[in-house]
Amino acid sequence: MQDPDLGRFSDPPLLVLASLADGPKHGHAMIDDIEQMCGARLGPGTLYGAIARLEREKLIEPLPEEDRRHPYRITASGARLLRAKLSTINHFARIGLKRLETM
Amino acid sequence: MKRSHSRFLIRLYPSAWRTRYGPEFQTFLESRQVPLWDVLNIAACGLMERVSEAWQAALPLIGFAYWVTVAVGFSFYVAISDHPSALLWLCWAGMVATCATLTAFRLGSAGPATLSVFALGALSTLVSIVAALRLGTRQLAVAVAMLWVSQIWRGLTRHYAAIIVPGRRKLALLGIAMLSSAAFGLIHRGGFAGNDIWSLLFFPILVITDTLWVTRRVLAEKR
Repeated sequence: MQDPDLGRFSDPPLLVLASLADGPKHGHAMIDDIEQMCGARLGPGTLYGAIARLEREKLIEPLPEEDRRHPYRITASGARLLRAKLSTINHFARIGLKRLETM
Repeated sequence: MKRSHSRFLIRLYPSAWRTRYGPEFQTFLESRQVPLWDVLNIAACGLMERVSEAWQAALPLIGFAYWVTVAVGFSFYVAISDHPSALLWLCWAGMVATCATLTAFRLGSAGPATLSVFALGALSTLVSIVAALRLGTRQLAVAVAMLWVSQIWRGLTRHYAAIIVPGRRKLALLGIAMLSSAAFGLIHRGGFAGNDIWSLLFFPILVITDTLWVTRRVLAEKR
């Protein structure tokens, strides 16, 4: 199956997927987790834009509501996409670092 | 953040988005301090959602305007050898202007541009019908009118979804409408002429290519 195209919004959805990789979270927890994970702080609009796109692409799914907040969890196709993207980034980073060493 | 402020910010999003994410987004905003930068972020993202929604809603209209443009261009292309006139070149210029507008629209504008495309499509169809009647190619006037109706129909029935899902009756009716317009031309002229052959070829090709494109799209959506 072809991977969904997340287009120019690919970074925030990728951060959300990475945040959900270790378990379900709601929006507040995702923002804090992403900030701890990579130092990037997503704005609330950006976060919910990413959540809406990922849910539309069935890469994440909402869990039952808790105090008017929906925790979200990553789906199997979301995990597959995240693994593929991170492998590409990993490959790219290794090659880039190796080239820097030779400078 | 105060409830009144969060409600105001959420109203910047389209209603479908608010229905789905509004309550939880409001809870999210009310549970934390929202600095000015985040307010700007929410406002920008809300407007982006609105543009995105407008774009989705405009797709059938763009398809309609596209085919009308093709029909207008073709009707004058067919007529050009027999009846060259200033009106003809004016209409070619109009067609180019329509294409330019569509391209500009594709590049990201929305809202009022949707109405402009619709109005331009309707206007060019009307001009096409009047001009085709004046040039004596009556079957083309009928065909363009049929095309206009079919494109509105197409927009309303969500891109020939009926072809795949409940049956093929609508496509059959559309094909009959297209072919009968060409047959009308044949009867009117009492035999084959250059224009009639082109009409006969053009509309089945148009329907087939359009149907293939839509089928591909609907199948992709289903996957």
